[in-house]
Amino acid sequence: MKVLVAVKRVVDYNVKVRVKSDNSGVDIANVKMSMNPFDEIAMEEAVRLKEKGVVTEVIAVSCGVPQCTDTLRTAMAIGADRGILVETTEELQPLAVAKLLKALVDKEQPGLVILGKQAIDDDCNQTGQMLAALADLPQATFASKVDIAEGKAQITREVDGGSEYLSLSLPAIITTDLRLNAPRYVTLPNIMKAKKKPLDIVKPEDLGVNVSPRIKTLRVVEPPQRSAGTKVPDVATLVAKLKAEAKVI
Amino acid sequence: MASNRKSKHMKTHARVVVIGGGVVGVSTLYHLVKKGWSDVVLIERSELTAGSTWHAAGLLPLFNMSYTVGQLHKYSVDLYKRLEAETGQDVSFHVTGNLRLATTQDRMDEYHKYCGVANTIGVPFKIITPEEIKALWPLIDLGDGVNTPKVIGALYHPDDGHIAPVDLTMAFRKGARAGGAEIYEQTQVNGVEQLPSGEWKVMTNQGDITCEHIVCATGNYARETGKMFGLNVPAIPVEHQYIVYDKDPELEKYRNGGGHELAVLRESDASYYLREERMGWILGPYEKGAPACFADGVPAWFGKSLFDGDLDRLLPHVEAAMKRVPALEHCGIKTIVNGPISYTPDGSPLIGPAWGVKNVWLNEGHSFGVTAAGGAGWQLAEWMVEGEPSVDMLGVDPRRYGPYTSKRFTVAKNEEAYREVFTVHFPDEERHDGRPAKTSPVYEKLKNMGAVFSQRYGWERASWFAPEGVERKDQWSFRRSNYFEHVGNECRTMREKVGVIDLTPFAKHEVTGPGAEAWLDYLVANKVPTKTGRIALCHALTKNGGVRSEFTITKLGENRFYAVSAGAGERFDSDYLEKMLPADGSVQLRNITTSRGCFVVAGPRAREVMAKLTDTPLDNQSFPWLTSQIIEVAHAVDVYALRVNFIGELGWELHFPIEYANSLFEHIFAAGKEFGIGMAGMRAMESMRMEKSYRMWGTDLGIEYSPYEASLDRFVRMNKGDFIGKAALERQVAAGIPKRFVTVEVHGVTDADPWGNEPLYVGGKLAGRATAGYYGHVLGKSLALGYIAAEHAEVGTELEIEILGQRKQATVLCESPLDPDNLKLRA
Repeated sequence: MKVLVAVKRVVDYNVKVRVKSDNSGVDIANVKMSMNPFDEIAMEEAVRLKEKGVVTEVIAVSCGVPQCTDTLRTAMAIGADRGILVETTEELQPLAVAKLLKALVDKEQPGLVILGKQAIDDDCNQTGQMLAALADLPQATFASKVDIAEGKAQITREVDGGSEYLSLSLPAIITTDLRLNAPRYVTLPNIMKAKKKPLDIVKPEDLGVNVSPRIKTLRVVEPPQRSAGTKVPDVATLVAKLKAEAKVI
Repeated sequence: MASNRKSKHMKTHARVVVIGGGVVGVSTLYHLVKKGWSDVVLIERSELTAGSTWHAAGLLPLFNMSYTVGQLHKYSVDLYKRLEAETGQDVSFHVTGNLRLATTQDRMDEYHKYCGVANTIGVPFKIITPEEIKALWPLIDLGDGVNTPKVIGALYHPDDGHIAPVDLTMAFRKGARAGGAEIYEQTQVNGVEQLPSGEWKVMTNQGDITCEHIVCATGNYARETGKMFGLNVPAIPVEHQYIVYDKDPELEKYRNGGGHELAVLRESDASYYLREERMGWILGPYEKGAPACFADGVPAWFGKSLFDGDLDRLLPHVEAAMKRVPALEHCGIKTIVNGPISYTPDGSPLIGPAWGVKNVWLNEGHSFGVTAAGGAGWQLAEWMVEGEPSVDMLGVDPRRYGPYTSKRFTVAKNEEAYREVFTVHFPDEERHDGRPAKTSPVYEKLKNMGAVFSQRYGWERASWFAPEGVERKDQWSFRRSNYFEHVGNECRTMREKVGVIDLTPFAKHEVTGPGAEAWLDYLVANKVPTKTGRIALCHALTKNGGVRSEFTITKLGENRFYAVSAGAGERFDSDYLEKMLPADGSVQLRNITTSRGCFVVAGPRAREVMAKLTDTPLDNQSFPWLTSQIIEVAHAVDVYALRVNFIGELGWELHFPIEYANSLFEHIFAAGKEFGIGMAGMRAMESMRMEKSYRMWGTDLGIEYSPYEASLDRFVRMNKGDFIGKAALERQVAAGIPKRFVTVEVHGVTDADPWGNEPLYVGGKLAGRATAGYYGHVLGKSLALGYIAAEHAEVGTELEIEILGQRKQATVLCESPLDPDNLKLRA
């Protein structure tokens, strides 16, 4: 069976982002970009399934600017067999992405779709869920363990109270959490092979999707600067300050 | 760390403000404290190491072809070993050793040449065989010569390795603060102002601070910092990447099986370094196509940032590395670290006084900053506190560059310097980018005569002339090469008939005013001419008695002097003279380098040629040697004709107003045709000056040797009154002159003449070093000039010189082995 993996090109987790001077957003003009870490985990899981023989083809999908082909090549270096870029310069929000992925699911008919649970730039945590709803498919989010056997996906989910065990019929949507696996580092020979793997570019219109944003960002500001703390001599002073200054009790 | 945050208590006054908190800045602060100056502060715009230091690979290459830089690196490596004990800060100095591979004979020649330099500095090394390499580095594939180039040998430095750059900086910080220095982070310098007292006011976003000295150690911001002082600093960063690999099972197996940490590996011919990193690897190529960055300044958003990696650029080097170390093929790539590293047009840093401003010092342009930081801080602190460095710092002096370093020139040269880091550094190599920049008016004429050009201080000069049918190209080599014979022909033409050399790039200064003579007499060791028309060879000394500069000084008239010095030293000399001018205005100084051209016309027939061009009597009575007159030559007027030259033949240096260059050149050649006049280049000049033992500033003359050691006794006048360096010379005479300058003949040379920087041995023991070497074409001897322990300086002393790893027999000759009595030039 095929597995579709969604990979997003995001600001590298190491970068200290700055807000643009007009407060319209974050400045990503010259900043290092990487594959979303949860999507790396998704790719790793897909490739492991292929190595186990459960899956026959891994297709990586990315949506956005032309440079997303870099992210797809990385996915292919990890082990994806081919890549699809849905190219647009429009600001993409989770609902639009979910619609694009649904169109591709209809086209490719994968047995499994794996996404990262959220992207580290917007922290939305919506796309996988929306895709499942649009495609009317079962979903298991925050997966920390995945087993595919006898046409079913046995998933362990990390939830606030502990772990939840689900059994899903296929096709299904899975989103990955941190402890699902430790993604491999790609070797140079695999990077070289990835350059030759097929990469198709389509437009949202080709998939019949209108990706115009539905939500308008009004203003982006940095969090207030942390000011220096003070040392207090005793508990009484602490309580007084919490009441009068911090106003939290 | 708390006291390093935005301090409310920044001093308002200090003796020194160091701007820039990378490893170089903090090392400078540390060394100032060590020299006894505790009222010193450092200002850092964000946090220490945030520029280039934090992402440096941390390698410590002792290898460097330069005598100056080699000494600085050696000091650093020795210091870093002691730093943990002194400061309590672990610097993670992994003394792994360093293995530099050779796959070609040229590379082995380079290593052998380096070994000579290393011997003169005292850096331990060993040239090792492929078998020994494999024993030291089991994971290596020595190559079959088919798929992978065959390793034929390696240069092994047991003492170097790698270090943690941030930890090293923190060790310097600890040491500096322990000595009273203060460091202010999150403090940005917005501008500087010079106060009437001569002190500097540094304006920051945390307040102002007044100081006596400023040190600029700002790395990526070097140009912007320089602009604050009106300086065009030729340091623009270039992107450098290295790949960080994941754990390597093969390496783990080797290490867990008891193998020691592998030496840092450098495959010079494939232009990369490779070292262990936490059971994985770091691989850093010096690739083609790495762009310069921040040529217009560092953007505000660039904090502790990196660039995106570009693996495509690195591919040829990564593939070469994978062949050499097959284990790499299966290693996962964790990340590519791509960050800016400061560069300069020649790849050596800028350490020393800034030009044109007083008490401002540069410690910029560091491409190997982690290795250089210790030595650079050491010598700069010494320079500031004592007034002079003890190491000859010409190779890194900021004033070795002139105003010609435009942004585009600098970008092109810096990218080239990066790309050529691992190229074989032939002694006669000439770099191509950014040329031609400055040309003499007769450049096109020389080109048409077959000139093959080289560049110094931005000027194109003819190295040699290729006759009709000979390719106009240098084949660089450590040995005699394609131009050897042609250079010989130029020498023979000049010494047997008459020749011309274009020396327009000479630095030329006019010194006038009622105080001129006394001022010059105080600056130099020789007596400045008192009679109009006399010429004296004069040396400006340091207060320690070393030779700072050499000037040919001519008295042109009452209170009017003309000082000529090496073209490459134009800014160096100009800056010194300007800074030494008396405040009372009794001396005026003008740099007239570009308003006069210069041709040397010399050889046995020179007088006959000149006689056709001028009516001024040229016989010995009328125009003795070492005198000058202002004459008309052909259609040129106001020509300073100096009867002196660097070739040692009958002849004149004509210093003419530059607008006459082309017509004068044509007239000289027309007049000289019947005598067989020919053009000579700089390499012929080198051969000829060696035959006369003429010392060259910057190689044979430097601050490490006094004029007595340089055997220039007759150019020192102790009885003329006080001059800078006199007291030091008196002390040296009293203690006994330890070394002497000698001219040496090397025997049995078939193809490898000395070049300079070779060690000299007497009785098997290191006794001195050669500072220059060349074949004397007319004398027919392979010659070296250099310094040797005084007891071995006698004419006839037998010694050995190490050339390309081989000890050759040599003999000390008399001074000026060609025509020792100077009959020809006094003819």
